[in-house]
Amino acid sequence: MAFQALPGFNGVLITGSLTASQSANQQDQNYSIEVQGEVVFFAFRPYFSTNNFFAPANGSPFGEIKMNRNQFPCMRSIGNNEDATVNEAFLKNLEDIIIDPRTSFDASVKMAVDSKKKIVFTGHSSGGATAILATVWYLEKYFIRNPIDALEPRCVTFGAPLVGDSIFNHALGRENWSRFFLNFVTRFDIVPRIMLARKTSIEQNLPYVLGLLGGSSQERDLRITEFFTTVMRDTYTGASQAVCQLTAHGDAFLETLSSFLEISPYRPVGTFVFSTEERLVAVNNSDAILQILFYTCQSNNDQECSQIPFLSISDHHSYGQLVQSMGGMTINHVDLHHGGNSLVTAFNDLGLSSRAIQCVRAALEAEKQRYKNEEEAKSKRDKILKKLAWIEDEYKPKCKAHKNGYYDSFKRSNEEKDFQANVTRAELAGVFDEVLGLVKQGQLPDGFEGDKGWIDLANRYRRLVEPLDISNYHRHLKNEDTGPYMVKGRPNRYIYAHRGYEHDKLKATGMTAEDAFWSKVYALNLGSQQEVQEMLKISGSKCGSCFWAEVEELRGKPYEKVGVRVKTLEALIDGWIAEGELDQEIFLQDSTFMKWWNTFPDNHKINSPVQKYITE
Amino acid sequence: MEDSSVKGLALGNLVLSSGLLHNSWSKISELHESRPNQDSSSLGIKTYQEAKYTLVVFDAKSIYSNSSASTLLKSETMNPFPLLFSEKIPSFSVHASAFSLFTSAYESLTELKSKLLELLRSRKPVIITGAALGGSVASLFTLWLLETIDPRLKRPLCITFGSPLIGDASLQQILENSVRNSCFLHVADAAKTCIKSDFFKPFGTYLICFGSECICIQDPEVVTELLLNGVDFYQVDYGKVIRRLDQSVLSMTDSKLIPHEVIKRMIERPEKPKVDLHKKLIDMKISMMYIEWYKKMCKKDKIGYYDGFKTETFFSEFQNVCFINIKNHKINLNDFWKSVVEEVEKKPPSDTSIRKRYILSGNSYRKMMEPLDIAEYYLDGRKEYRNLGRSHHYVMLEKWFIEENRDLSDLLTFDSCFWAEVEESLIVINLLKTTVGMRDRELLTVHLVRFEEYVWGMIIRREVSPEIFWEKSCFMGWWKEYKAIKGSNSPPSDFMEYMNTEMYESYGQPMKERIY
Repeated sequence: MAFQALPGFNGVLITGSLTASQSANQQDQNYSIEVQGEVVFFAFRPYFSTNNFFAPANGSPFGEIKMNRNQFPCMRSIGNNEDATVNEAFLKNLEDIIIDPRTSFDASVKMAVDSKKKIVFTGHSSGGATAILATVWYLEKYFIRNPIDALEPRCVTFGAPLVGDSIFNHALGRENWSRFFLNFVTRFDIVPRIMLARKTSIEQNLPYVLGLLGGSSQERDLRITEFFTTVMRDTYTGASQAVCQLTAHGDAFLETLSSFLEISPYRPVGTFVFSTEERLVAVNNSDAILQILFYTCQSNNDQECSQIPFLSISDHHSYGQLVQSMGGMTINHVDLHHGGNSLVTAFNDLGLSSRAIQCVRAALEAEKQRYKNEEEAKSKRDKILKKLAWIEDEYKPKCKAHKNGYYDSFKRSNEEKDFQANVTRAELAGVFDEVLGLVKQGQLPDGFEGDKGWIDLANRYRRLVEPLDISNYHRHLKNEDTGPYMVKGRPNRYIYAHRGYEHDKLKATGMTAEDAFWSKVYALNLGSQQEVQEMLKISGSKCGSCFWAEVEELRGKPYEKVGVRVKTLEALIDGWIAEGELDQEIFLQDSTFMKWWNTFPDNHKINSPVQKYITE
Repeated sequence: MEDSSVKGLALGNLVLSSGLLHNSWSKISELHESRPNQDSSSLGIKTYQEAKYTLVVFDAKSIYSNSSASTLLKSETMNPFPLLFSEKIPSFSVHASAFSLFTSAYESLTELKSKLLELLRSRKPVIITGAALGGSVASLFTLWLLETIDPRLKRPLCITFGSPLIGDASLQQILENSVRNSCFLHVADAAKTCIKSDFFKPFGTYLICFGSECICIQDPEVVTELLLNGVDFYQVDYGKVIRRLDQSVLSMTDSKLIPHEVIKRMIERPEKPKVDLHKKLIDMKISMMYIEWYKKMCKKDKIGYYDGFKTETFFSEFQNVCFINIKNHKINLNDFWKSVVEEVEKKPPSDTSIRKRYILSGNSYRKMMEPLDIAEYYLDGRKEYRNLGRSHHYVMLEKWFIEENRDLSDLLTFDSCFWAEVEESLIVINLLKTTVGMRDRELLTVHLVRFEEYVWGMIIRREVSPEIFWEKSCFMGWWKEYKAIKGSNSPPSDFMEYMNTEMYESYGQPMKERIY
């Protein structure tokens, strides 16, 4: 019964994962492959030494490191442009496997892809952490680049430690990948909680406890109690801080207090299935999972209190039992779709206290609020479309009458339509700034940033209205007293929209926007890469809707000084027009651009790639 | 629904789990025990360098006095907090014994202050703590430290245990909504603390302990209510309180919970709804666009927008609609800026960040809008705008702008009361026509000459907009009358020369045309 309650997973995948994980534990190899019909299981072996949890040379308090954007271009936030953080030791475990020439891991994965097999990455304990990262690696390397051949992967972990931070979780949510991850946690298992503790607070007892976790001894040493208490104390800090972030967001006291705390960056990803004796509870809200990780370890009485530390070790080895009995159990859910009684039952199953329930509910409430915010943002769509349509269908054509485009008309702002365009510009800015504010504060669902409809809308807006902002900037001569538009004036709402667009466009190529831009520019052969890079460090050429900013920046300068930038700009125009970034009206006879272009030396004009657009 | 109680509990949990209380208390006890038999006038101060932060402990001999004796501090007299006063709140009172202990150690505290500022500047965290009266002195010291602190620096945290309240309602009001308020954490055991005084008011965040649970409360009214009924103990061992709280972390059997009434009380007091400032600012921007557009339309017809507005001239259907809109936009803008000024005035002048954010837009608003207010004022037949009619918020916006000393070369009339001066002069000219007494006439003429000098100075400094010279302008109307009065009686001044030869035709031409 329980198997049907987990969409995307079934009995074959889960029992197969367990068997594969168990056999990986016995081997010398760091991973093993098992094929069952149409499914290939890649199971990773766990390690139980301190260095496999905290990379030795890593100085950060939780052994964390930023992911490399070139290798994992999807694993970042678009709004804050920040790369995800993961545990360095776990990442290294994966990298060792990938680069190890003896294992040919990559080749095996490729073979599975080519034969259209369903791939499951799995592992117990730290092997589960490797499985999570291997899944991300597969998603970036195969799934996103070749969605026709590469099937959706699955990742099943048993008692795995936490791997990545909230950006890691957010990125998986944005790409709609969270659904591939399923994590089993037995009630008191210590391992899924370990990464919530500071390295300095657990360092001393960690080797001993890892030794116990890796072996099967039934020791009852005081060090176990000490270790458990330390981990849970830090878990408590992390869980409390998460609730504070949800309920007291922006509170000044919280900010002051937080600067004195060291809080684990790691967050749960995907769906967690908690088992408590006879019950199973599935949770997919990362904040709620964090609360449950702490509150399910509270005890009812003194006797239980003294037992739990030892259960926290033995529970790490009870996944076989869990999966065996799973078929006959029902799963209750803690999520937004299962309200009311079902939720109450789930809370009972987890044995949560009333304070604990408050915290879990706060996490669900916050998620609900995020969906509400999204709905509200999207409800403005019609209003936005109407305003964009006015610019596109009325304002722009009217401006064309003057033999120059809306950029120049707005800059002069002599007519009523220009005034109306200015009001429209301000109104649209209001809407998009508000949405950006929500994005930056994480007040929208993770999936919002990946919503194709919104990406398209935001970019239609950027292409159409950013020229007006540039025009306005130069109309007020702000480039003279404040600085170039690209440095001082470009509103974040455009930077954000552009970043989202480039990400959406390039993710299937595995390239970052920076790479894509530079490879285009270097291909023009305008000088040494270093020189060109220096010259274009800050340039409107990096984005089609900033075309006018580059024109304004260059047109006051002598041609000889800015030849490279002029040629780069011209070379990009073709692509921009094809992509819809730029309108051909820039070539209208009296436009600022054409007036400037006409001042170029003749030999430049003859060879110019835009020659074809210019009709005498 | 129960957001403010969930928030309070979560913050309480976070404080508890941070270990900061435990550490602070153990150092307080350590210092206290090392100073036996001290008299009540001595203050112990010790700095501890911890792994993650610097801890400064204040120890004072507890005197059993829940006295409300206070010391009044005024902005005009010497005191350690000159920058906390604002125009609205020029004085506040503090706890007398705590203040005298604080001032008695002034010299060593000055040294400590500069040392801590150095640490904060290099982003090192600082905690200042103390129990009972020691905590009150710690609060005063923190207040002193915060007075000069740059908001971008790391903020210190002051933790007090069962300390008497130190400030009156005025101090509470000064700290309200200020980031400074976030630097105080007062730990109080509900059963053993009592706020008896009506005079002193709480500020900062209170961590109130009920048995094995604790809750953070920031609403001063709720704090006062909760701490009203305790029995005041001479000394409370907060070590025990913290241990009791700590032990409850891993247990879900809460024997002594926070009384239900407390939670209920918190739900009843919802947090103040946040004003959507962002949306407001956009609306204001759009309102300004309308006014700017109106100005531009007037310019096209060679009539200044001041005169256009005053004579309610419109030239087209659209302008007509615009004009009605303008009146509404004017009301919105005025309301908005009045409320901004009111907000800013509540803050002590050392909180300049909020002020800075508004200076530029406030200034363009003032220059654009005040002439229209003047037009309305004189249309109503009133006089002496500058002294009797000028709204306080314009005065303040101008003052802030001048204090910031920004670039003054904007083309828009710099003195936004310029038109009021013109109107006053026109009134004088009309008076002159009906006045016969020699002495009275002389007085009125002096006024006119003074106005002439004022205008001439503005013209030389390029501080007025060229639109004053347009044919239909009120100023040109004045000039014609003035010229007639002056006639050929007196030798022409520079100004008259300038006007007679129509040199103003080229006024403002070499300057860049700036459109708003």
